[in-house]
Amino acid sequence: MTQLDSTINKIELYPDKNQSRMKNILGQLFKHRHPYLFISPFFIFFAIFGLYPVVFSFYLSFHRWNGVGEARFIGLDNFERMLKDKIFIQSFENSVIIFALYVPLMIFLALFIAVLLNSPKVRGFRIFRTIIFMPFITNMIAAGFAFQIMFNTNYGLINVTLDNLGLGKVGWLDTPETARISLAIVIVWAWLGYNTVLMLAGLQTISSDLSEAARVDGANHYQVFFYITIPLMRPIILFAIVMSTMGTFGLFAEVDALTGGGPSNATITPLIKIYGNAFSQFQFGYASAMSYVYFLVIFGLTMIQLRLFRSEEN
Amino acid sequence: MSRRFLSVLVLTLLAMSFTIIGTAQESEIAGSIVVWMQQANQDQIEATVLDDFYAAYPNIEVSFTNYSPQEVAQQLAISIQGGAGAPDVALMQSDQLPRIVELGGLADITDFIGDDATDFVPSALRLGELDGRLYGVPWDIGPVVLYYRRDIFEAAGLPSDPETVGDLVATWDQYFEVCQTINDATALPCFANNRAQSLGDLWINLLVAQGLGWYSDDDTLTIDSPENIAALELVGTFWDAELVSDDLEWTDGWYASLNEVALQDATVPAVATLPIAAWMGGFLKNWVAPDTAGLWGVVPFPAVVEGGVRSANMGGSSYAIPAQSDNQEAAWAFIEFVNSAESQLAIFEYGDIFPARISTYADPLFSEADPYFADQPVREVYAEAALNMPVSNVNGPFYVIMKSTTETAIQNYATGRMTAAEALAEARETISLETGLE
Repeated sequence: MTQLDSTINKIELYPDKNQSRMKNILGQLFKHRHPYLFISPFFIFFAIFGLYPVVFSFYLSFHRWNGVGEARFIGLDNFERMLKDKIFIQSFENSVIIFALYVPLMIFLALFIAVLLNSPKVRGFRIFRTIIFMPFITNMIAAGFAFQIMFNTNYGLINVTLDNLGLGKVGWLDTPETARISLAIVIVWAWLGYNTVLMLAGLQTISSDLSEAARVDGANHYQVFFYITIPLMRPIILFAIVMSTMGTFGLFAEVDALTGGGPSNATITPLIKIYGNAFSQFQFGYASAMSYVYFLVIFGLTMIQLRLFRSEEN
Repeated sequence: MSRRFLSVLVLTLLAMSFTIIGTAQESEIAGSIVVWMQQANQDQIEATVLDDFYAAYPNIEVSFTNYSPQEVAQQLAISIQGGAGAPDVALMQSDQLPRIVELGGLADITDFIGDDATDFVPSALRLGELDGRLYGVPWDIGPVVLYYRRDIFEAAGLPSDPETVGDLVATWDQYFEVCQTINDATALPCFANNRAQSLGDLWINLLVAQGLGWYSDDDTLTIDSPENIAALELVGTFWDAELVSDDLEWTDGWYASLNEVALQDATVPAVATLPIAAWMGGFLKNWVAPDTAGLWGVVPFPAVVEGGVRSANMGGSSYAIPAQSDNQEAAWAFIEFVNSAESQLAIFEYGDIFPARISTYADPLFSEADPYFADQPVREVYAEAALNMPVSNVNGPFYVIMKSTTETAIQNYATGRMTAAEALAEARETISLETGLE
């Protein structure tokens, strides 16, 4: 009897709890090998394009690497640098400000338009829904340039109109404050349709019995909206806010096309900053480290939001 | 038969056989090569020298892929990092070249180019250099000059012929006075210089003209040196005196200000001058300002200090061969051919791509009168600027981050958020963190 055989016998004779579970899983896998084979393409692609980059960038975050040759281990230097990196810190502050500028407005507008469209009195529901959804499928780079021209201080459509109305010109993209507002306007334009459709889907799950009952009890339109619709829409609103949070910190095309992150870095978002360090400066290690911090911030914010909404429900 | 005659005969035969071998090799270089460059450059090469290239190298097949000039460098970097996908020849903006050279992955062309390297304008050639080896060769450069509107100078009661105007704006102090005179007489802006979204080109030109830059030869940051601060404050004097328009370069308002013939009551006021590189001459003529034909003149860029250099550089492009290319010989054959003095002249005549080769400037083409510039032989002015082009430390491996950070600094200064010294000190701090340079 060889040593190997004896080992196998030992395993079979004294099966460890974990080993038997492992064996069980493998057995299950083998038993269902055909269905697993059919769903495997997703997991293979996920492993290559999802899992591998996540693991590799974790490795890179402790290294200095320009994309060519060997990566050099530098410990926590990348994270230390981040603490001193005013622009990286500012990118989060920018995101918070931009979030405050557009998310409440957009969510309210989306819900409002959705309620209007959901009303049986509105005809041409599909046409309006298409029109409102249209900006979402418009190429953001092209739209960004169009807005850039419209926001032009001297000859832009918006300022020429304002000037003709005697309101004077606004330097839309010229100061940090107005640039953030301009960006917020573009984001609302681009994402309102998506959120409206989201709200519409939510509204259609709410039974009309509730609002009818409320009306019989003497509630007016506003009361129905604020006391029936909004509370019932809470999960959808939460979902929209969480998505918008991630979206705001991850803004890229909108910023790139409209302001390029300026003026005075007022519209730089974490993603723009990370992209710049990775692909303009070839600092893949530092960019990876920033990506991890970025992930942790988003993760934390999402958890806080979920907790807040849940505690309110209780 | 004398010994002497014999040796001459042998030498002649030897030389002939070398020549025969030489030409045989030339047509023997074979294979297909991929060339990355922007569409406009491909058009220029196709319209001028590509047929001659095919006649000289019948066995080389060239296929072009078009990217914008910035995109070429970006795509090239990605293919070098990825280890595959690079072309055989890449034509990129010269300011992007040093960071690709630094990255590695370009073929060493020092031996290909040999002594011919000395024919290129030194300040452009050095961008492809690393540790004494050459990884890129300049194709065109952007000698900076001052374009001016003859009719506006006349309307302001100033002389308008290039000789006199050239002396009139010999320094930036004199230029400021000329701008003041024009503005007083015509109410027109002297040139366009946006504040809030400034690209910072004028400041960079003032640095280059003085041989200054963003770092010293030993890689110490000089972003906020007293000279650099003074140069930014010089730009500021034009803002403070309200002598410039607020149109941003490469936007519709800017184009309109260059193409406006009327000196009064125009929606966008015409500008009196335009400090920019020589490639702008072709742009003005062909698409930016065709209406103003015959109204422009060209003089050397004003010196920052009296008797100083009246030249700077903006842009330009360079050829490089990625090390991944498995047909570097054919790639070099292509570069050598389209970058010869003869080809550079043909392409210059056709498409205003200003030659990087010094030997071309003596060509009669340079003394030809140009009707768009009221028959002024403007290429002579360009050539003078090219020959005087100072060496400066602006376009280095960290060009991209230094450019964008100093842009922000200039915007902070221009819009009154900071003083020039504060803005540049902040930029220096940011750049130091980003690059690791002190």
